[in-house]
Amino acid sequence: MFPTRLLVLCIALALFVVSGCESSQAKVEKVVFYENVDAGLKIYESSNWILDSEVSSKPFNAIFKQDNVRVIVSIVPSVKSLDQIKKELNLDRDYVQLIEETADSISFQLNEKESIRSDIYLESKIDETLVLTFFTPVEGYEANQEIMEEFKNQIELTY
Amino acid sequence: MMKKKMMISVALGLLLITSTVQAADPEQNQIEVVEEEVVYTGDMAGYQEEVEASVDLELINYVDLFQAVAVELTDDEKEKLLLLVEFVSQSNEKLEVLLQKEKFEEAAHLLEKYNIEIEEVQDLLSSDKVAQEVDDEEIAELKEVFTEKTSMRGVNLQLLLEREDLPDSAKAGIEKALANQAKALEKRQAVQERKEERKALKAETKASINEQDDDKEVIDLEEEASKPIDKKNAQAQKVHKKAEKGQNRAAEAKEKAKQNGKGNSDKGNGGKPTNPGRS
Repeated sequence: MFPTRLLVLCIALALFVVSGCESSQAKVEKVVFYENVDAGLKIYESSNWILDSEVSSKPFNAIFKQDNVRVIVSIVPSVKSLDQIKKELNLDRDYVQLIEETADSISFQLNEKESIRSDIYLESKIDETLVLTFFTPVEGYEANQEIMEEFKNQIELTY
Repeated sequence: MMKKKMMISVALGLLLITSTVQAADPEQNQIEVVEEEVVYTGDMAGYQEEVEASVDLELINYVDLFQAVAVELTDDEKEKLLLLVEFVSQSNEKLEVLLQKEKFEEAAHLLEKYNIEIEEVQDLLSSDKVAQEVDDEEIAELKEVFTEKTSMRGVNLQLLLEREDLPDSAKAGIEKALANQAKALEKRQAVQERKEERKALKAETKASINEQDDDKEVIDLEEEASKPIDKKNAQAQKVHKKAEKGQNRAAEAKEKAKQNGKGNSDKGNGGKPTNPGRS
């Protein structure tokens, strides 16, 4: 009698563990707030981002905004380096004040008086590049940093 | 005995299942990350050579958007104009290179954007809002810079139009650009004429103020009219001060140079005031 009870207990315990795993997986499932099948892009909900405008579809370019933060989401149909982006935007010229640069990101301020900061992040895939270009007021940048970081993590390329 | 064995094996089996379920996710993630890194570094080298290409058509929309958002978010009218002029001059430079290299297809794309930008700046330069926020002198200066930066001296647009191998799309763009240049020139002349007129008007109002001191409206006018003059006076004083400072510095430098010159008279040019004066 005793071993069967233990057996039942074991099964119950195992079931509990398995169901626990499942429920935690369900929690991770996020709400898609923007999807573009042609571009192979999914953005999950975070903060109060809204779509500002879809500008072009080939290559894909769209603007999203959240209060005073803007982001251009671009999917370029080939691999681009940060140098290529920098060159096209002429970031070596006077109108730009460099703040910081890494292998796949660059932050700068647009001219001296004005208080706009821009952060560009690159993510290269096999045959395309995701370019995220954030615009934030320099004042209150710290507060918006988290919002931007969150948005970055909610993007999924489904090519 | 049998039951015990069975029980143990069932427990072991369950443990095995749960552990594999847990292990599955991180494994997948790891594989993904590794893939990404390999692709990223592998392709970087190959693309380094292409950086030299003058305009990247795949990025033209993106650049356009970047500039549009930057301009849109800039509240200050003067800053906005400066940014726009900067962007126009960027397009101008790229266009010159493309047209010189006879890359007409790419030029046609950029010409479209360039013409829109030029019209935008022209509209802004003559808008009431800018006139209110930016003073006349600065507007005149900006106009100078703008005409200078959009003159396209490196390319003869008129001559390009006569070429037979010019695609229609580029042709239309070049025609528009030429029209814009003509328009800019006209406006510039009109502005200069207006300046003259305003000067004459100011002189007139001043004369009339002297005649009718009691009229309140005219006094207001006088105040307004005298504002720019005060500014100019202040600026003139600044310039004067700077000049004074410069003179003092030059005198100091001379003094130093004399001393130096005495010290090493063998070296010849130690006595010249120009060299030490710069430091």
